[in-house]
Amino acid sequence: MTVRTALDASRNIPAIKMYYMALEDSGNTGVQQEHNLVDYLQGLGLNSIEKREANNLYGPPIVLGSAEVRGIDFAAAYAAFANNGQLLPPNPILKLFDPEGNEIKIEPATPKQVVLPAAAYMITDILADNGARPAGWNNFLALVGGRKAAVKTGTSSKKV
Amino acid sequence: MVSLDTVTRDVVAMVGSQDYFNKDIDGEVNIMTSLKQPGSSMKPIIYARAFEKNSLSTDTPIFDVEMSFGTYKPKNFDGEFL
Repeated sequence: MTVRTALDASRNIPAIKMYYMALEDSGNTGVQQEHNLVDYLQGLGLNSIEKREANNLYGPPIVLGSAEVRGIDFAAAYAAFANNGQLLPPNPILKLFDPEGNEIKIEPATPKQVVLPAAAYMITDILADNGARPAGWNNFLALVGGRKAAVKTGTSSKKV
Repeated sequence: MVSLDTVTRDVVAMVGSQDYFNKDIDGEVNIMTSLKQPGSSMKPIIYARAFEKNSLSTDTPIFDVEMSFGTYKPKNFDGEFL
């Protein structure tokens, strides 16, 4: 299969191979390689993922989603992919007023380039490609009628 | 569920719990600001790093076959290898 199909069909073995390719070059120790990957993930705003000691590394299961994140941070990371790899922190406050009713201007945050534009484009292109997903999977993209949209499944524990 | 405006990143919707008053499901906890495993939705983020670090295209062949990585022998969600 292709990388495209592997991601759209969410196959695990290819994902683990891609994890190894995501690590920095082999001159580094395993710990340093993982810490460099964590730098990248923290750059995407996934600050709950931390640099661990050598005896407690995340290892390959991190690509299968073993490292815990906050949904709000994760949504912001995905939004960076929709913007050529530029991250903005999620903004929970749309407008702010003082007690007299005057609007307090909120300085907009400056976007940060956290993923190379080419890589962000390839991911978006794959996840927007319904043709590469297995037949019979829910066609989530049909829900957004005509707009370009990307989708990825993921299963956490069942708690709601 | 959390929904962001993809341009401004304004939070346009957030549902943090099925029922705030249901103690059985820890209803008062906002799950969207709590730690959860992302599962397979982490894959694209790691794939992107692999794209950055290697000359790969979206059509590069990659094999979905049973493999051991040291003592680690992962399976697919359907138990099959394609």
